[in-house]
Amino acid sequence: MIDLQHVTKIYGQGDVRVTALEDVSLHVERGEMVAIMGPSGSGKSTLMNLIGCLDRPTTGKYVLAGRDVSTLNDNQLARVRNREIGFVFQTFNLLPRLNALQNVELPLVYRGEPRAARVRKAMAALEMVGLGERMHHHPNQLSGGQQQRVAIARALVGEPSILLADEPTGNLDSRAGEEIMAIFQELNQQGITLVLVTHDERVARHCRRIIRVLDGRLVGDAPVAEPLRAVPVNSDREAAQA
Amino acid sequence: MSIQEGIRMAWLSLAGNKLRTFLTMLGVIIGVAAVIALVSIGQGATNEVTSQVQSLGANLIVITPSVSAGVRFTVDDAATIAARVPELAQVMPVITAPVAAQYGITSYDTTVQGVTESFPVIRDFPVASGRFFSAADVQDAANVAVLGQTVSSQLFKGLNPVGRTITINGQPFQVIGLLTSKGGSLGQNQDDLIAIPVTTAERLVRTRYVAAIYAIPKSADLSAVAVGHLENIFQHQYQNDQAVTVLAQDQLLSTVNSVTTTLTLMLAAIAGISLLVGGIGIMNIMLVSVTERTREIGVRKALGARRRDVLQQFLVESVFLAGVGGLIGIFLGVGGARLISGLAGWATRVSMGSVLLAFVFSAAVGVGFGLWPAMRAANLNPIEALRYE
Repeated sequence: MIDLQHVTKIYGQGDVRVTALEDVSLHVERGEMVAIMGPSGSGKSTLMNLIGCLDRPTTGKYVLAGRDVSTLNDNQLARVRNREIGFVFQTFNLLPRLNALQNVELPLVYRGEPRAARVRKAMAALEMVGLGERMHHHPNQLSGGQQQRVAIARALVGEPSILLADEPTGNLDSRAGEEIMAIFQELNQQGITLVLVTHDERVARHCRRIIRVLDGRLVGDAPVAEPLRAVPVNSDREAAQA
Repeated sequence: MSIQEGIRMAWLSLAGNKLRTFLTMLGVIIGVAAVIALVSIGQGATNEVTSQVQSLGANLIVITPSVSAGVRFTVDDAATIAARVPELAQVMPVITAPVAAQYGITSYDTTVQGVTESFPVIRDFPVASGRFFSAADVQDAANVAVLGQTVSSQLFKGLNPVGRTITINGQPFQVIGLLTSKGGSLGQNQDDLIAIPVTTAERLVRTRYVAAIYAIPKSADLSAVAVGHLENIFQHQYQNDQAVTVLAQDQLLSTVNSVTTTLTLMLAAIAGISLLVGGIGIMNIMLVSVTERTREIGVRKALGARRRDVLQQFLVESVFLAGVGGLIGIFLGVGGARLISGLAGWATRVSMGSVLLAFVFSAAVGVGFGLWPAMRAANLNPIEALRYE
């Protein structure tokens, strides 16, 4: 699914050249749940931006879902992001003026889908994260955990190849964080490929594989022997399912 | 993303901050309203002045001696001019003097015009009742008078003046006719006069000199020829082209028109500046909006918005601001023009052209001043935009 081959990313020119990533090769199969770990400044954000097609490698090759995306132009990259990547951000990044449903519709808007189909898919995605009752709430009427679930629905609605989450529990209390991890694990069980970027060891141990980045290089890549099992405690999500 | 979606998005974001949206529009609203109202005042003034000049009498040629150059005309000069300029159909000397008219115990200060029987034709100023005086009356220097509407209503308060006797500067005059109403012209009330035979006027105000000589050409085409002919004669006679002014009504009309057109353009330019300021207001707010929504732009790009999607979104917003502002401005401008003509009594004329121009200009302002902020938004790097606090 994700195939990075000898990827290097250099920012700036001349004396201010900074090598953010150096000769990184990484392979993620369909259906994996991978955590990318590293302290700040390690290059994990750069790696995430490359995987998320927000940026292009300086050298090396990136094949995403069978397609070489390392040489695409801005518009082509936008299209790949729209179709292949579902983003979940630490700060949720919902648009405040749109309600939950409209936020979830957004990727489909940029795909040019007709309104009726959009609404149907967005409603289904919100049901999937247990927010069927709150479709017309605006972000400021939702708790952090709920907002992040809307964001997950938005990431899922376009049926992307991978879900890319950047510190998805970083702004949540432990209970809401546990809930989000439970959703991720459930999605992964349904076959969705997940890449989590985090510096939280506990969050990472919910995944089945941990990749460690330091100073722009991969310094570790190991499966998790016994992944933690996230157990949501008596949330409104379960109430909705009951 | 379709245009329809773009409009929906723009609507959502503009409706989300109604006060700001309204205040931003206000600049364009005032600009467009000012353009339409001021241009309508200018065009109304042009129409008014044009019709007033035309009301002086079609093809009227006014020959005025310059007293400061030592030139004066008498009644006989009118006959001389008539004989020497064959293009002229009628020539009439005019003596003008302020007088006091009295009927019973009512007295009224007005202007007497000593003229000939040609007056109704030359000034295009017929009588409404009674008759105008004849050539014989002029010959005899008869004490007969024809009243303007204002004088009649001042002296007779609605009574029919024809057949009654008034005194002018103490001398008795028989009123034989009443002129139609002409209204005002160029700041003068044309109905505030008494017409008497020029010969009688010479005696009444004890002068031999006339204020001006009025003439009309045999046909409208001959007006310019007649004016040229007259100017030649006077130039030859006095060796001074300032000595006598020969002014044809159509010349006056074009002079007045060029003045009022300049006035209209000036008003439009002043109003145009306010429209420009309104446009800069839109650009200002759009720039602020782009900065404020940097993160939103980053999110949209991450979700797959292309450069042109973002460009379109912001451009639609600014065009919407300018367009709707323009429409409101048109209504206010037309309403304002009506109000001005109602309150101040000025003639106003809202032309389709000025409305269309104002709207197209305001829409262009939306595109012109929205383009730069929209391009800034479209060119944002998604990674930096997402990181923006």
